[in-house]
Amino acid sequence: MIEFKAVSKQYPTGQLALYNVNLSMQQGEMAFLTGHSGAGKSTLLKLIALLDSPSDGIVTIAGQNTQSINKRKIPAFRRNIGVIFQDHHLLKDRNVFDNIALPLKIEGMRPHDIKRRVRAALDKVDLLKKEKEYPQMLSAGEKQRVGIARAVVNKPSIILADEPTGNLDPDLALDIMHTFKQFNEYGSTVLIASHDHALIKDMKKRIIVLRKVKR
Amino acid sequence: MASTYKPANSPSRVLLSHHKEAIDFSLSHLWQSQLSTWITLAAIAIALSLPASLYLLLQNLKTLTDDKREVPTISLFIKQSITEQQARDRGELLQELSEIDKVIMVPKSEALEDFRNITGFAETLETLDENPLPHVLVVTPHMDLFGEPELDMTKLARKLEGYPEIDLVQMDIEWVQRLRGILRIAERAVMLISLLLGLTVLLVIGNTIKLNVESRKEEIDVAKLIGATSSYIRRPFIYSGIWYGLFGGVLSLVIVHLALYSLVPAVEELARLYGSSFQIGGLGFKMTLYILLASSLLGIIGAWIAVGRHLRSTTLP
Repeated sequence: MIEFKAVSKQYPTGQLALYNVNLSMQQGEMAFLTGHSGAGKSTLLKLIALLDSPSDGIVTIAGQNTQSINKRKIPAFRRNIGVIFQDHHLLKDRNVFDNIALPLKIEGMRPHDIKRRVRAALDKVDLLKKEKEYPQMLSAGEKQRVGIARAVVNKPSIILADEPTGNLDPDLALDIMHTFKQFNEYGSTVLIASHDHALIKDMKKRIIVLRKVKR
Repeated sequence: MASTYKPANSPSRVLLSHHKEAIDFSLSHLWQSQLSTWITLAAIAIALSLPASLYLLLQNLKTLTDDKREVPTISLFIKQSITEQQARDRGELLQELSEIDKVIMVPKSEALEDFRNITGFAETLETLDENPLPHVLVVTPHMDLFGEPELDMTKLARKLEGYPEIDLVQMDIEWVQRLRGILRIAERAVMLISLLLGLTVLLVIGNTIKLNVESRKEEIDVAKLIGATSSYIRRPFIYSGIWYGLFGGVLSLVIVHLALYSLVPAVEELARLYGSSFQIGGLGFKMTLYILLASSLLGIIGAWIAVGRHLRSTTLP
């Protein structure tokens, strides 16, 4: 499903974020990506989500070389990847329901179906009662769960999360991780960047370690 | 990548729902920030109403010059020694000429009556022993016979001057010709002003949309992240541009017509004093449509440029 072959990424500023990364994930697999801060975890996720392109090497997603995807097709491609950030990136001027409905509206789903799907996603993250509330009224854990609901509402085949539990206390963090595990059990390929070693050890999933680039 | 999800909607329905969403969203956005919306609309309306009213002014001056009532005529003043019947015969002969459309005979008695009615000189006229006015033949030339109307009018006038009964030939068209010349220049000027003010509207709308885009930068980035296409992101802003242009255009029409109707009584009074039945004309359906179309188009272009700049420059989180 996800394959990196000798991938390097150097930013225009000269900073080398990734160097010669080789990685392979099967469809339906769940894995944790770990490493020191600055090891390039976020960069690696960005390359998968087509938010950036490698300076060297080949990134293959679902059998397709990401470099050869037509620019116009990138948005459609991205809809199959749900991304969750440490900073939830929710829209402050829309309530929980509308935030989660956004990806479905982009796909042009009928209002009736949107309602059904958003409720289902809210149910999975246990926030059914909060659909009318605005992001600023929610706790950090709730915001993160809304972010997750938005990322999974259109049932993407790949779910990426960048430090999704970074701001949360351990209980909440474990809760979130179990939510991800559940989505993995529904069939999505899940890759989570995290530096919380204790937590990811408990999850008993594959752990991919990125080592800091040596110059 | 094979998605587990297939949209149940056909592409055209999807597009329709996207347009509906964009329309709803852009309208509610305008409604939410009413003060700034009105300020922007006022700026657009003022910029549009200036060329529109100048156009209107020109249009009205033009009707004054090509109005059928004001078609260039030639007045032939008949010598005092000629009798009414002789003058009438000359008129009938002139009627036969191919250059001439129609000849109207105004006998001196009738002219005096008119003079009395129009000018209010009745009392002065009473003191005169005899009618000082000559018989007049008012000649309307065939305009379609002429290639260069001004040149041929002069030629015709010279020919008419040659007839023995005729004392004086007076063309009523000189002021019309001069006015036409001025109007031609004024038309150019209005065109130039319209162009500049159109550019102003473009900039006002572009700048407003640019501010909108900036205040919703986060939303745009999120939308991109979850797979929104550029056209999806662009659409609500384009609609905002259309609304600014369209509503600004409507407002400018209101301004122009208010100004127009405040002028009507004064113009009518002036026209009455000149014995003219001139009436001030409005913009008309076609021109109204053109103004609204043009202003909406300016909105679309302005918005397109503003969003386009942003879409290219965005860096995703």
